[in-house]
Amino acid sequence: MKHRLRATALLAGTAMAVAFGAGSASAQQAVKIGMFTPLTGASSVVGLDMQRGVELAIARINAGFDVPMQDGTTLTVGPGLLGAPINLIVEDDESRPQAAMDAARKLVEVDGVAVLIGEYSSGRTQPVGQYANENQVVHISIGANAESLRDIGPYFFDAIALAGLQGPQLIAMAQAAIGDVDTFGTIFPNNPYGVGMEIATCAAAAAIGIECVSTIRYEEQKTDYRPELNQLTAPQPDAVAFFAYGADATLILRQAFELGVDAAGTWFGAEVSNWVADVAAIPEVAEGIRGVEHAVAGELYETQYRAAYVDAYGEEPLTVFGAFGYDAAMLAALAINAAGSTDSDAIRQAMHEVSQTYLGITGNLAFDEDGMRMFQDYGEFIYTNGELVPYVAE
Amino acid sequence: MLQVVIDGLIRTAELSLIAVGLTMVYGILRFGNFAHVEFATLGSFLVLPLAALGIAFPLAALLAIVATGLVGVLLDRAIFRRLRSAPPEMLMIASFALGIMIRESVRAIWGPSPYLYQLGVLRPIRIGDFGRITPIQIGIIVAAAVAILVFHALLSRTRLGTAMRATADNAPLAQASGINTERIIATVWLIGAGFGALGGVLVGLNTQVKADTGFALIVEVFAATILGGIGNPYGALLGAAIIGFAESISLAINWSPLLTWLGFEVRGFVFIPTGYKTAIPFAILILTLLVRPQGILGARR
Repeated sequence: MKHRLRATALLAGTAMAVAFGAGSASAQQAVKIGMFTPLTGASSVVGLDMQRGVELAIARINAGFDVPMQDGTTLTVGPGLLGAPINLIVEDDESRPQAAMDAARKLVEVDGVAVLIGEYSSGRTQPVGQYANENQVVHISIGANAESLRDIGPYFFDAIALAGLQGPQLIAMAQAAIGDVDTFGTIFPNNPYGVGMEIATCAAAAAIGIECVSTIRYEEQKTDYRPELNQLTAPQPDAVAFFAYGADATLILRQAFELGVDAAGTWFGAEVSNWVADVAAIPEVAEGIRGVEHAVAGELYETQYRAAYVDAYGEEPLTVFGAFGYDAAMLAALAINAAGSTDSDAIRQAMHEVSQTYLGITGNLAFDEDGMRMFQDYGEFIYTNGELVPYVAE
Repeated sequence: MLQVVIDGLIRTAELSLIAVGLTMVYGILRFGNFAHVEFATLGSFLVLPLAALGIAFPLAALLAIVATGLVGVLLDRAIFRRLRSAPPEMLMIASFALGIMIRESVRAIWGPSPYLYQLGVLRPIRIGDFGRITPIQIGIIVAAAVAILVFHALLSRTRLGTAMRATADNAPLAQASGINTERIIATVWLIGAGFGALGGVLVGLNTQVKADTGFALIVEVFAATILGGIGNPYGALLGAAIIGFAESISLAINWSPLLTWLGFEVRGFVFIPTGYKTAIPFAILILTLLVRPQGILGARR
């Protein structure tokens, strides 16, 4: 009995030594990439989609992949990076800035990730970006595009173009759709993204003689937006530019519907794919709403991303942001591969170089000197029968 | 303007029930229960599993309200009863901690994503040229009014109500005259927490069900309670109406005529930014404490 006990203990000890030994050996070699993303809270649908996009890219690099380049050639990367599979660590940031900071601190200080990827809300990306820069860790944002992100610092990169480009597009879309537009109202969240969008939209409007008669900045995640909506509509603007994150959008659109606001006729949304999944429980409140969204389409997107996504997850991509997540992760892998190490400054310099040559599934990702994406295509869409379809003005 | 009145009425309905529950507990135990607003959150969430079982919404709501009331009684037994002789500051801190526990437990169980009661969205009914209200919102106002009327009848027409008022006025004297004060305290927790839950269900019906529902209302509810005279249920009702209407009216006032009259150059509409919405009850609260600290209907002590 005693012998058997000792034998069992020895066996268990050996097994543990093998397990832990092997674990720490590969952990030392594996390149760690950290991701913070909203898997719960108002942006949970977008958050899941971004995670899937990043996972698709990492899985490809880990298996070995011929990455397409702008000049038509491909560059073989992998299997793995620097001789070992990439270790992707994903943390939920609960759609809250504070939780995003907690997640980033854990990824940087505990896990020691080489690159940080995330997010799509500028309100959560900005503080994390500043923190990552202070700690000299390369941070690639997936879908955040407030104008203020440009000033974060040399370790910050953005896989999506800044939002200001949407301002003129929204104005032009409203003019084409409803003809004579003299006045505009805006309703955007009171965060870096929303304020940036308000300024960009109203500046684009002023440039062609349209006046912004109501500019509402609402607080996120509140339980009532009726006073905001009443202030928005009081001056009776001809058209309204709006944006809201998933669940907030559902409440705002619902209350607008209940107040009898003609959102279908006069509202034009920025990045409308944000709330499509959230509003599915009450689609009638969003029926007929038009807006712009980052255009992700084309042959490369179809063959390299959409098909693989459907294959892996059994459904169509939830939003457009998964594709940007894919490109952000690809850029990270390419940069680490080109740098040949996990040294932050080497990765940072390589990021600028690989962005000029990589052919992304969302298009050309070339960064300017501030690490901001320079080119972006937008498409026009209308929400009808529970889904977004391309919109053509009559 | 009509829309502002409708919005004010809906807000009053939601706030008044929660405020009445808070003030009742204060009236008997003499401490501000910061955990009270979490009964609203808990009640609104408890409807979800019951509705998922296929129970009709009104019955599910009623069961959730009763369950929340019982949770209130249990929490009193487990925590506050042991602290009956403790100073009110200690009770307040205990209630603050309890509030965090309830809120975060709800978040842990149901997650931070908001829910909707599956009742669909109803087209608004037009009232005049500008007013719009949905049948659900009419239901919210009616439910609150009925609850308040039943409560008034209970307080003024029944022996239990007399005993409750007696205990609130002078607990030792009530006990000496044969009233079982511990039983009265349990009843007050049951009704108070239940009213909080009903308020939460109404907020959920009108908007969404989320873990921050109660906490987001804490300033409004305390302001309403203190404004009306803390400990006085009718005062809480009045306070809720003042706060509810002050929020919607002050944000709806167009200040540009006044500013123009004062000589400022303004174009178009000038509103108080909606970011100041929570500052309005705070401002009213500070004014009340300065001018009439005992509240509008509060007796001088």
